Amino acid sequence: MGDQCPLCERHRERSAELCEFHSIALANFENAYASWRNAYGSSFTKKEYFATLETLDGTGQAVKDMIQYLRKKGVER
Amino acid sequence: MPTTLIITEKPDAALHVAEALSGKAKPKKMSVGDVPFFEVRVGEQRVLVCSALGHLYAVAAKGGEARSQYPVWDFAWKPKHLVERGQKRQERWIQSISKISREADQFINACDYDLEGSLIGYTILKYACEGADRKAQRMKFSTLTARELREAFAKVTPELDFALAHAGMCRHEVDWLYGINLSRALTQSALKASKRYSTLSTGRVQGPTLRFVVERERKIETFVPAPYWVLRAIVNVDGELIEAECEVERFNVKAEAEQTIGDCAGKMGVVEQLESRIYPVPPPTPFDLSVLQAEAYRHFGFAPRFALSIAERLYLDQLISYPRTSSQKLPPSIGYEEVLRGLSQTMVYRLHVTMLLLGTLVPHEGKKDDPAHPAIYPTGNIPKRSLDSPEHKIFDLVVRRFLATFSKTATRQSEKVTIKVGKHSFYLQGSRTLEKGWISPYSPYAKFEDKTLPPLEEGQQVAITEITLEAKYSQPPPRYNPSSLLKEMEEAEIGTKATRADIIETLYERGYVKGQRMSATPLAFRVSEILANYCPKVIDVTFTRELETKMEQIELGKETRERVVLETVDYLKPIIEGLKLKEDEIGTELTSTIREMKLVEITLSVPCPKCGGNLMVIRSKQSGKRFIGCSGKWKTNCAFTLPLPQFGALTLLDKRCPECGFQMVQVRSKGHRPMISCSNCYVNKQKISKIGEVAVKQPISK
Repeated sequence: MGDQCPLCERHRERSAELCEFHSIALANFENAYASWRNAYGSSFTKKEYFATLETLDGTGQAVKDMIQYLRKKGVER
Repeated sequence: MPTTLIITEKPDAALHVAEALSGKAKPKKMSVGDVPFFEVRVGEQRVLVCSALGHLYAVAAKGGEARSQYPVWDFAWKPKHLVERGQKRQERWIQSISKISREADQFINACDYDLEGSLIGYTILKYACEGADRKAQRMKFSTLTARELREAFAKVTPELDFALAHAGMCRHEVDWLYGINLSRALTQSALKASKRYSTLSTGRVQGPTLRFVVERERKIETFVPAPYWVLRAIVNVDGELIEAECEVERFNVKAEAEQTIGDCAGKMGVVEQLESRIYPVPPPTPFDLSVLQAEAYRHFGFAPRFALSIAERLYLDQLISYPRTSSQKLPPSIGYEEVLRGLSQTMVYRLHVTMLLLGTLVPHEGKKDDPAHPAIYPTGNIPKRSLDSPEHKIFDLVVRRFLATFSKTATRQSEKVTIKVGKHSFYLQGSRTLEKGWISPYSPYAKFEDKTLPPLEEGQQVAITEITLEAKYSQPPPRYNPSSLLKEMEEAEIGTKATRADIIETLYERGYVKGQRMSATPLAFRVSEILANYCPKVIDVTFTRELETKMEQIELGKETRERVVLETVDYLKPIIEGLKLKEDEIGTELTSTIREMKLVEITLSVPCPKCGGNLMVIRSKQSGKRFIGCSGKWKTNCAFTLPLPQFGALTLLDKRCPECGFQMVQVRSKGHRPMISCSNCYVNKQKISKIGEVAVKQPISK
């Protein structure tokens, strides 16, 4: 048995924070940060990362939802 | 006098067959009730020609089970009017064919020569003509021209193409078993949980096709772009400014791009190398259906089903050959020269035809073949009636493609100039057509960019006026459009050339996808996830493909219809029984999504101009009439309303009114063209006519 994902109404496993769909979005989001830091240099902050991705058309909606969610959790800092 | 009954697939085809067989005499038009048929004399033979209306028989549950009941494994072929609503005409057609058949002692199936045509003729002969299938013959043709129809009548095969008909039956039966059981499982689960009826469907090909769209949407929704940079140098060649690309196509690290700019700053460029390549561009291959559909989408934006329906109309008008073909080959038997001479009657094609007739006629054929039909080609007939715009476009496309396939290879030249700036290289690229060849007749549809470079010499110095750095971001994969999805289905070998376009339309009709760039709706995600969780085998492309292969084996006489159907039942039984046990779970999962979808369907995207609340389509409990009302009515007592058309199925469009910016609505009702209107303008026009003066249109926020 599980519960509902905090970002949508999809089912999530009790051991997981998010549903499978948003877990993929989170994994993509976290993995890509390293390549952005490599591209812009080590001074590129997480705050800039959040803000830039939020404005880009190509960023998936699930990733944008994730940014809001992480921001509320204070992960941005 | 011996009497032969010929059955065609459509009424227009019956007329063409009758005219072809009657020679110079006019066929005698007769009727049974309102069903027409023709009588002609061919030597000592009396020939009656009547038509079907597509399929007159369909698969249905054997007993009289309720429409909601499942699983259902016993089926029978029944007259379509007993199975589907709104098929009264088909009922009269069956009765009339039965009556006409009593006068005949010989029978010919002259429906389109493919799986569906063979099946249509077979079921009519078997069920409406009291088992005449056993003694019936088959006419095979690819165009409805008099010459080919007369030849097909003279070379009629001694018996029906039973293998093709049985393969067709099997396909319908297997698809019915899948569709009826899976769709009812979804619909009943949702009904049980929500107590409200919503049509949900899936099927043997529909499930995997929906999966393609949902998987693509998932990739887009979870996509994280990556940054990269592109460098370009503006080169001054004798006063002409030309853009040169950097040897590094994309820099993934910004500092490296900036370093390159620094290295080049203030330096002159030196022409290091001049390269030129002349290469042939062979003509395109003749059209098979899927390539025609892809080209019709690319050039005119026609959805695959629409393009096919137009092509079928042109076929019935004797203008092109049978469009449901997989072939990219044009055998000499179609009479190249005769077709070309026919086309030369039309001024715009005359010059191209004249050029072709000066040489040897050899088409540039593709690899794909179809044993039943050649590639799509024009018959050489000129239209007897004025073609409407879509018809004209498809006809012109088919004619020009035909001309192009017989034309010479085109020749193009590409040029590349390497300019060294310090230690970095930049490239100038140019290209041009040297010999037009096939591009000439196909020019409206063959676009090649010509870019000529100014004359340069190796060692020549050129000024670099500017180096630009552009930040870019990687993009998610593109959404499918109806044409690219059709191609994906074809590559995955699911569905047939006749059914793929319909399956794509069904995805729209069921609310699973939206827009020309097909985005999957929440309902599509939910249905696809349910199928993946509860019955993953149903959306497995491999199994669907294996089933396709088995059905093709039936056509070749290497497999039997009975065995494939039994295997399908054995495969599906545990899946459907499993779904039945989990109805409650599935229903709960579906209900919230359906509710959200319904709310989205009735909520306008423009806000209330009075209070800014949500505008919705509301139906009055007292009068039963529908109108646009404000959700603020219950909170702020906002009384804003607008009228709506009262008849037909209403859809809120994404389109805004060009006059006032309000969201437009579309009404579809049977037998009428869809009507698009703006409720806001309607009200303003009413006001104008009442007041009798020019009123200022009420603007709506865009």
